[in-house]
Amino acid sequence: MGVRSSHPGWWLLALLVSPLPAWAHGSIPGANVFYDGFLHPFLAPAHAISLAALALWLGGQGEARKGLVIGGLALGLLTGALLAGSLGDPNTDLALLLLALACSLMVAFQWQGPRWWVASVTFALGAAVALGSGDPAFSGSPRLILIAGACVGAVILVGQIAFWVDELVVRYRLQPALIAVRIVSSWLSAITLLLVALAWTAR
Amino acid sequence: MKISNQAALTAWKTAAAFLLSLAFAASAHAHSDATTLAGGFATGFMHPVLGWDHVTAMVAVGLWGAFLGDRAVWALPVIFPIVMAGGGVLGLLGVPMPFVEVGIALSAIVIGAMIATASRPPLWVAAVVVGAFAIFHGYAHGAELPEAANPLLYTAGFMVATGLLHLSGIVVGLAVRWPTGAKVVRGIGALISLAGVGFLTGTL
Repeated sequence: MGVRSSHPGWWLLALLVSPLPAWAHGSIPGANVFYDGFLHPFLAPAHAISLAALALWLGGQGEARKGLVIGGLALGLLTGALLAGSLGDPNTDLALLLLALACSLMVAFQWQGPRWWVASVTFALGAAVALGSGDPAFSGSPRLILIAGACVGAVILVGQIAFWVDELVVRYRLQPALIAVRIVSSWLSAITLLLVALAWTAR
Repeated sequence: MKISNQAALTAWKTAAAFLLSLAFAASAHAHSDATTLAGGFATGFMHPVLGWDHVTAMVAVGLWGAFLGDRAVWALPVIFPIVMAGGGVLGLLGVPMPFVEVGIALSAIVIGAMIATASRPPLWVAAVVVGAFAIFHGYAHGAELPEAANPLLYTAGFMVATGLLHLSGIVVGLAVRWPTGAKVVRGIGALISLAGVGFLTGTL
């Protein structure tokens, strides 16, 4: 019996170990700044938690509300990106943790909320992400590229998680997936509540 | 016996995957002090796991949820961490709370007794009981949070550990679907309750 020379698992392993040499030569002008911004939502804890909580919430929304959430997030990101410089790149971590707490509690208790609330929370979260992604060390076009990268990263992070929640919970109605989403949301609620309190006591 | 090419390849892949996982594990352990990404998480993760009073109470919550069945299986593990965080906030703010250790010991006694006696109260009653005890557990964790080098990872670690302890209780509790399993689960409930008495009296 012949041995297959290629196997999807090995290709996957190869792909996993290949990014480092690929990153070593990121010589496209502006690309490194873009990647710095792109990775920010994934690496900044308050950003990552709030966007994950939003994604869990978005994934469980009905079709009509998905548009509202996506529109609110996009408008928030745009507004925050435009205002970040003039507002002096504020630290929005506490606001993001509060918004993460709101989103994760709504998922844990399966509360949909009125449309104005949905729009307000997503807009505020998008604006806080973009406002908190600037860096005073950058100005001009690198600064715009940095924040644009952060906005793209935020959308991809939210989109990836929301897609799977939508597929498993809404489309295929997998009960274990719904329970897992609610339990993870309760963990996020607990984590953010404690961090908000810690930030409050540290002030 | 001659080994086929396919079997040899499978064995090699398994060995390679094992060695690869060892390599990753080694690099993860290399910097496992509390200030690093892995270390901060690990410190928080180990905190509830190393305290037997916490472990028994967390497992009891999962066990009771599975024993009650239906929505309680996931409702109790959803409510517990949120209310526990509320207790943690009280601990962080330094709000005085007497008898924290007594409350933690009582949680094992009461929830263990509920399982042992096969009590099936309405879900809201179970949620109130579990929530009330969660405040004591959260208070104990919250009071130690400011000392953590990385509060976010420490909190994430102990929340995940708490959830996994609940899950352990749920997994064992699912045995109630068989008559013998139900007896075993009730027996475990009795042991948890006895352990709670041990924590309360200081014998454990």
